[in-house]
Amino acid sequence: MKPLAGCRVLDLGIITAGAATSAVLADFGAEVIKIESPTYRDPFRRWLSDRPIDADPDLSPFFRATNRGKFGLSLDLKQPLGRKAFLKLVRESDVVVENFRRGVLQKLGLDFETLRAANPRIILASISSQGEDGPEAGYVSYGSTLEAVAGLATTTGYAGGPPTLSGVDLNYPDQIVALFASSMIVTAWHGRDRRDGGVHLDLSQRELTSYLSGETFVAAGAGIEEPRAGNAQAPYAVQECFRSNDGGWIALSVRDDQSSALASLGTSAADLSGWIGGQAASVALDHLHAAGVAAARAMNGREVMAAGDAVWTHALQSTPAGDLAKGFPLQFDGEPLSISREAPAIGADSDEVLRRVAKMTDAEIAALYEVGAIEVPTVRAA
Amino acid sequence: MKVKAPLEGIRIVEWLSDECSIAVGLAISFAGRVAADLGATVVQVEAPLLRARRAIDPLVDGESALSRFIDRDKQQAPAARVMEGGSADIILRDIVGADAGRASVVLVSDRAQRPDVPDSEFTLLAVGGLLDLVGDPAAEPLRLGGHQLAYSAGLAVYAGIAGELCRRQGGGAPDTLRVNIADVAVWLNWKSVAMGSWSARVPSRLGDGAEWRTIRCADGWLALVYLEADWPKLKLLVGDHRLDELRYEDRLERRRDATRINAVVEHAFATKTRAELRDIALARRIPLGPVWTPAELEHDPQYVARHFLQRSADRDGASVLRPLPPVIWNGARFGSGAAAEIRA
Repeated sequence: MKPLAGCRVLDLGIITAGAATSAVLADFGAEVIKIESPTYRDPFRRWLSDRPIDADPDLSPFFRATNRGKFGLSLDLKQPLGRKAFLKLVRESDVVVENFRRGVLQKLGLDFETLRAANPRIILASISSQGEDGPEAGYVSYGSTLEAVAGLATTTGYAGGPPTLSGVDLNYPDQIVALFASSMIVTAWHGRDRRDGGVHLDLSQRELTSYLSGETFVAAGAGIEEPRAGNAQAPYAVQECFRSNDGGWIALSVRDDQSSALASLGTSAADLSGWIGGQAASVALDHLHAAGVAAARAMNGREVMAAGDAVWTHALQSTPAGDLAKGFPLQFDGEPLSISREAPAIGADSDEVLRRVAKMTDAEIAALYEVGAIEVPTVRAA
Repeated sequence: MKVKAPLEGIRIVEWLSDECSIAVGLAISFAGRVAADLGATVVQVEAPLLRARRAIDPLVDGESALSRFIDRDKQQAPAARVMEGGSADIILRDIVGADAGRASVVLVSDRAQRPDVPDSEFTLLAVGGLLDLVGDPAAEPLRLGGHQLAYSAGLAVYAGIAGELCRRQGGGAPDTLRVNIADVAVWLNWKSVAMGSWSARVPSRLGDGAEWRTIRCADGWLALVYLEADWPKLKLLVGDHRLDELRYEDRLERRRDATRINAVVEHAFATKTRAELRDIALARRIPLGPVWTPAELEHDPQYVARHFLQRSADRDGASVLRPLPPVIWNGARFGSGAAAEIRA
């Protein structure tokens, strides 16, 4: 059995932080229903790709990669009928995930107390940049904003250089929150029979980013603020990237008990730059590995993809239709995680979900279409 | 009113072999950190790596800041005593070991397929494509500060712990789970790794030419971060006609000219402090990020209001500042393995 077998999730998450959190829940076996308003679809549906095959403007590869394994429901929560249908779904579900701007859920009349009135056992995961309350709860942020305000940027950078960000192509805090938020939801689900009532999880991405630098707070609290040091890092005697004569960057970490290993290669900690600069990357790597020194070529994304099995096994996956998708950060031996379905086209499963889960009649569903509370489904381009 | 910690009664063992790599050890102990913060009893088998970790610089009152953060509130004992009675629910290990009894096992490795290749957290950043993304294109690739990859792998380990506890509760037999740090690196970096299949662009570090970067302001640095919808607001705030060029309405053009745009914005913000820029960002809903240091964050209004950082005495009496777990659970903040008070 999968960890979340029998768990149903209503996913209001968008782009990465919310939608990727729910994707992990789907991987763990939950039934995840992605809900998008006809007036505000997940912006990830229209993220850039320049392949003709990805021309379907509502199913960008980024969206497909993040939302595989989910059902798709179109529902306008601003309309009374849409809100009513949502609360019917809440009654039959276990988890709601959202990463709207703070205050939006309240404005929709769907705060935690309202959800709990509909379903006393509901778990609401509110993922936000700064948390539910506090003077900066309304701060608008993207991942790299949080690196700055959480204390990570100040420890990242070349010696003597500026604080440095992970940037738009990584947006690091948006990636880690999906791991943490999903695991908190799983923890709350695990405890469901041992407590009275539901759980509201208030998850701040900024706080998570600081938590992942916990030791710098311990040091700072004792008056220790270390200057930016590039790639150097205790306890390694040397940790740096050096360029080989064929243009590759070799990343290596040399322990302080490895000076004899370097000597056996005819080099030393002080001479590594020249030694690596005098040979091809693959040759230098063979020597370093044979001497037991941790070393690897700094690869770009395309090279990582090509390296495949030598580096990774389950981080990226194929969907049943053969699309490349985000895979898993961990794997179970007994019943391996797998991707069960493609990412949904807009409103692909609206009728089925409302009938099966919300127990609505055809007439009630027709009424939702009539007032525009449900978008007419689009069909995925061939 | 108290809220019971969710993992009360759960026993987790961290068991690092003598050959365990520093990165794997950090991933395992970070998962233990999260579990302990949520009320689990976390027991560490005494190991050379844990002793060595206590001596890694910087030291706070004679013990590493690193150990004071991730190893706090955990018990330590020799293997035989830890495994006595077989009471562990989950064992976190770096090698396949002796019979785990009724416990589930999470096996953590540097990478799955190449145990012959010596790795470090740094080389795993390299093979996962994360080093290549950060820094200046004219200089060497750059790591993120701290132990981001090892700790992210620790989050994956913790997700596995939570998932396995659910499986067991549902009647499932104990399973073995695997977390490879290299897989976690690629999972974090999925956009750049997959993008080669969807686009001609291969993301790489852009330094001063990056769309998002830090710029100077009156008393430090500011992260200049914006997307399409923020551009008009940023332009208005900067108030420099050089940003009004029609071509800058196109994001690709802005990307091409990022160095120039960043210089214009830097010039406009040169007289403003980070606190002023924070207030402007908050009022105008622009995602600008003042670069704060951990020392400054101890007094940050948001962190103070949410009781996120706590100063308390370690077991040796040292006063230690540390972050509490980044979740408020029905109004309560956990930490130290105890039930949490609901905040006023």
